[in-house]
Amino acid sequence: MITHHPEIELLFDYASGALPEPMALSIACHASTCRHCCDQLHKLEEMGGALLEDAAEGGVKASELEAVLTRLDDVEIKSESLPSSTFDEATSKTIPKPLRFYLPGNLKDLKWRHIGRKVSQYNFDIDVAGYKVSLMRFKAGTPMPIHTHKGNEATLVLAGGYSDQGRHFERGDFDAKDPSHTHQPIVDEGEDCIALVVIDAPVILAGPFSRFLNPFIKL
Amino acid sequence: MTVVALARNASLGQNHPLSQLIGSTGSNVVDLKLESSLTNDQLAALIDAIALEKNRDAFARLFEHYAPRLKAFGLKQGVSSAKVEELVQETMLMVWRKSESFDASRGTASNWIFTIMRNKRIDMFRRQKHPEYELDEGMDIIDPDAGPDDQVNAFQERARIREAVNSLPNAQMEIIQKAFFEDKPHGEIAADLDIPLGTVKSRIRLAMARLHVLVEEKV
Ligand SMILES: [Zn+2]
Repeated sequence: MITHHPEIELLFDYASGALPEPMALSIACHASTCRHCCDQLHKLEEMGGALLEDAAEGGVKASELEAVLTRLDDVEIKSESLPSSTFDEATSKTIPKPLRFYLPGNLKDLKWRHIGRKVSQYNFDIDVAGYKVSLMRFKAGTPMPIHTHKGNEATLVLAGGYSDQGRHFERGDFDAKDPSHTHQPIVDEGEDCIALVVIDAPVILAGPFSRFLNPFIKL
Repeated sequence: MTVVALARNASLGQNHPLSQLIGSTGSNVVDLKLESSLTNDQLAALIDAIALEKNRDAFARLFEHYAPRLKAFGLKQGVSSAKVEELVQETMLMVWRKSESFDASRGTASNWIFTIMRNKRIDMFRRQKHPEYELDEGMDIIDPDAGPDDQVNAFQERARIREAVNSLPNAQMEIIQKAFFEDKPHGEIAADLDIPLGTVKSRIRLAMARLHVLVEEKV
């Protein structure tokens, strides 16, 4: 059962569109498996709907409608659709739909990078400056390496579970940590723990979205 | 295709909102301009007509309603007037292509179109994807404490939501506008307004609670 949810302000940032892709992905994956947060997002997005409905009317020329009408029959270039049947059962049971678009193959066939004997990592190819998105797999029943991070870390548990400083995380749980955390989570017995991990390195972004501040700050 | 869409189609008769909008034979768009304001049901019916029969009159009517609003919304978000027409066109094109994914039980038409525009804008100007979520019953890890999503249904009436959003206290409205119009994450909103992060969080929560109460009161 899911007991750890993203903070409301992260859901709010998702709804407004202020989250960078890696964080939006993590939130979308959680909401795909959590009815509570799914409902919260619907409501927050209704705020956007209400603002749109209320927006003063900008002048639109008849030619603009005509321009769209002529494009309706254009063949859509489908780059996003990926049938879930391309994945085996173990993969589709573990990976939430929003993440499947980023997955090149089944879990067992990914290019896992081994970090010692107990941890392996697969890095997603998501090119957003300052962010790293990966799948981490931890061997059942073992302590994870003690680590701190320079940046912030958002972990979404996809399989198995772990305990960290008296709190227990399992499938569907969302765990956000800032650099002040030093921790040594203990992985549950019985099943390897697989998690989607998003890390933001302390990089100053350039360009129109450089205003992005720390999305993980705990209140 | 959604169940709602099928139900609507089955009952398409004289009382069907669409029959008054475009007529049973699909009347000329120009005749429809006198229609002052569309209810949420009517807007939803237009989207369903696109999904069911690729109805171009319904699309034109929907364009008339939303294109001016999308344009004004985009301009408020700082999109240049040179680019805003492209954003409106791309958004409405997606409305045409994705009409089958509209689900009136999940939220209003304006909510749905807001999210399409948000994702398009992020794609066009940030060159990022905004991963979408959808509750995946098959993932089988739904929080049993959350209960049925009847809260969402209370948000269906567009007029009520607009009214509710408009009646939010200034302090809450300010945060919503900064998020949705200025594209700012909550951390930056706090810095802008020189208020603690905790205050932003509590105002988001208050706004959510207030919208819920205001909408429920009128059911
Ligand atoms: Zn949740």
